[in-house]
Amino acid sequence: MNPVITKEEQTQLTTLSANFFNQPAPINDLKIGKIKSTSNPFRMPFSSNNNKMPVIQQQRSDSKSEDQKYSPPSSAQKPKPQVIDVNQMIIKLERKLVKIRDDNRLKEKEQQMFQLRKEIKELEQDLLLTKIDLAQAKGELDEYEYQIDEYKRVIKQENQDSQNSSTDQTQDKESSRSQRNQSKTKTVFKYKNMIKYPVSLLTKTQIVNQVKVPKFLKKLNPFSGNSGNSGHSSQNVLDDPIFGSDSIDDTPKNTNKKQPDNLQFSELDMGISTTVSMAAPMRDIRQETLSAAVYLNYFQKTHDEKHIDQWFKVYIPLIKEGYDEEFRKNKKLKQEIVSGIPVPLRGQVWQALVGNKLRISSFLFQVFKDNGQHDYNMDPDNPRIKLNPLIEEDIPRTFPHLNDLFEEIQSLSTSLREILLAYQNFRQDIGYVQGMSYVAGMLLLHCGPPEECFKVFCNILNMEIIFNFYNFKISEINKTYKVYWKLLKEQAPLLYDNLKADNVSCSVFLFEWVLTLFSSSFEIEICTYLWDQIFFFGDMYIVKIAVTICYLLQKKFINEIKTVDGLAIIKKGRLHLQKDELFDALNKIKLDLSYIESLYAKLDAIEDEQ
Amino acid sequence: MGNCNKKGKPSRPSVRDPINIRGDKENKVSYAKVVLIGNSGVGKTSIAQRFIEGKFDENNKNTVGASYFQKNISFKDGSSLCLYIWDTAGGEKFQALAPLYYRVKSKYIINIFQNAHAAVVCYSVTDDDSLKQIDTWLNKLDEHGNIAKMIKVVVGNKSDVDKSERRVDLKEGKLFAQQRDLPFFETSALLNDGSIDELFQKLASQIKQSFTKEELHATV
Repeated sequence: MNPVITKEEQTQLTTLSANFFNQPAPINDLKIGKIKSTSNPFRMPFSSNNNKMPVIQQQRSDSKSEDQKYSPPSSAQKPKPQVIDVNQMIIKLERKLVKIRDDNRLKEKEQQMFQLRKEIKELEQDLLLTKIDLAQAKGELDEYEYQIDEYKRVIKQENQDSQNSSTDQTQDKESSRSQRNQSKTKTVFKYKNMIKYPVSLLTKTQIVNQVKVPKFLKKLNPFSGNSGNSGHSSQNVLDDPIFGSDSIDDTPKNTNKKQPDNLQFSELDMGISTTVSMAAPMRDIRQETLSAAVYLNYFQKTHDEKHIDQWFKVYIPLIKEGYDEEFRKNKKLKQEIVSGIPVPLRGQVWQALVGNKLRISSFLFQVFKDNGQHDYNMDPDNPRIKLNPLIEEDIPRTFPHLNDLFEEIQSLSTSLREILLAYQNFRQDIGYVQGMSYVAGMLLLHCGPPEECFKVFCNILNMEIIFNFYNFKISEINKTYKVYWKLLKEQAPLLYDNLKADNVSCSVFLFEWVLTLFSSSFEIEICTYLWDQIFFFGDMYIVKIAVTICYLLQKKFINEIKTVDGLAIIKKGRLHLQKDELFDALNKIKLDLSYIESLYAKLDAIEDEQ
Repeated sequence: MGNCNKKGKPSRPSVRDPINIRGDKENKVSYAKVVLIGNSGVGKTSIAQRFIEGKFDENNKNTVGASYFQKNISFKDGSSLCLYIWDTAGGEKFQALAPLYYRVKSKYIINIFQNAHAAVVCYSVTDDDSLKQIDTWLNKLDEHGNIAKMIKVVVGNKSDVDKSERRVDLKEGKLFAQQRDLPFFETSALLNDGSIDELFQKLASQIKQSFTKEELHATV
């Protein structure tokens, strides 16, 4: 039937329902009234015409027969309704009404839901954007402060230089350019002295025009290929009235020099990012909540082209093509590794260093990424990849202070999920272990596309010590603990005593360190350097680093070592350790890898400590 | 009790925090070990952080292995109890790691449950599976704990969430705990509503009641 209720039907409905519920309402037909008044409820002809219902109707109407006689004439002219039909109709109509009402409500609510969802999405986007803005603004503020300090120092020196070399400015382009290069290297050297910072990151540092950071910063884009640029901005410092230029909104004032505008502009960008990256390690390297902006700048660092070239032409081929890991004996390469791989090349070099003994291919990654894991239960037409809830939970918890970054950059989190799922399917005996997400996250930050990361990831997890830990081979893990205790006793006896007095097992911290290769316990930047060396020297180096950390902590707390809570110190190691100290100690500590290996070889000879 | 502190080194002064020193002098400080267990992501670390540091960190890392905190609780009668709180990783693999933690009597591997005076078993009110898993955790406690009168508490965390996100009602949790004859708390690490302080206060007084001073010594 048609769900629409006509007016006629409505009037019928009201009158009849009124009748039905025994209210003193006028009844449609006088004739009925007459018949009813005279008729016997048990009379056959009537009941044959109609069903059982009229009986009741009649009884009711009998009681009201007098009222009915006075019912309005208008209703009397209407055709005689079939009571049964009407009753059925009432029920149907009532049902229809309920249906219609429900439908309307549902529609309304759906619409509301839809709108609300839209709003939520928009708000979320806004939130993300504002968060990033905030982070950037914080970064800018830091940079301003830092630049002001730095500038005061620099300008003093530059003024002295400019007095000496004022004649240079009048020379023609070519010669001035070479001059600038010279002065650049000079200033680099100054920086090196000012900030103790590995050479590789600073060799290309330029002195920067100190103006208008925010505008340029907003143009910063992570991973934008800029390593090829060479800056000449040191001269700009000389030419520009820097502090006066704070008010400058447009670049022309800066760029009215020998260079075309746009080129100058990009150089300014570069320069500023450089100062930023230098500012970061000086200031809040230990802050756990480094804003995403700082990390963006971390990847933005500029580097010495020559240095990078050298890496490209000499070291990378050496690692890749060298026969039988010959490169590990190369002293120059070792020195380079210890001083740090240039950031833009880090991913490549890691790949080369780790190698691909497992012969993982990109195809393998594609296969395992969603191998047999389609969940057809959810939606048979569009099967989704079965997700591991544990992985889903851990993705936002990996490097939480970088969440914005992970959201921003080509959905790093998607790649992270893919890698972890792929490994889970690839090594089903191991599956996903908490801690893997840190390793994969670190790789994603450096190595680029997920399939490349997956190769490195699998090969890293294949390193002996790490594999044993992930595989929970207790006997093997115990070997490492045993060696570690022995070394700790030798290198940091006081801390060792302290831990022993508390009945603390080294598993409490060492387990986490090995699983995540220190990346969950220490700053990302420190870790990248640690990883450089681990991949070069092999997995024994992990033990060495772990021992060195304790050695350093003991040195720091040597006065309070007897009263201090050793475990708490170690657990909060990231707060106590500075990067330079750590690498200094790593170079100086008298702990040969061959010695560690020999300890592994003669485990039985080691006494059971603790 | 200063000399209950360490087995072999009774005289080692504990200067970890000022309350401890005073306590040592008055011979009133005792130590208790508390383990936080439960499924991954129910908020064990957040609970510990709220209690220890009084803050909630939205950027919480996932716990790998175990981490460890300590805090003093002072009572009205002037005595105090030092809680060593062990925050464990709840991940599946670390459950599989159970032998590493609980079973093997190796000297190098810590038995998380060994000498634990109390266990706080957590679930999340947004995750009904985590409630079901509590039985598994309780079984593990029974199996591997070495102190018979270990105090166990059931805690439903994330009570601050919206009703629409809730999967486990307050009543449901209460009933669950009642059936197992355990005390029940519902807490929120996000809100600073004192629920977590209350939890640990009650836990501490319970520990103090049920253990003698000799039993309350530090074995981390």
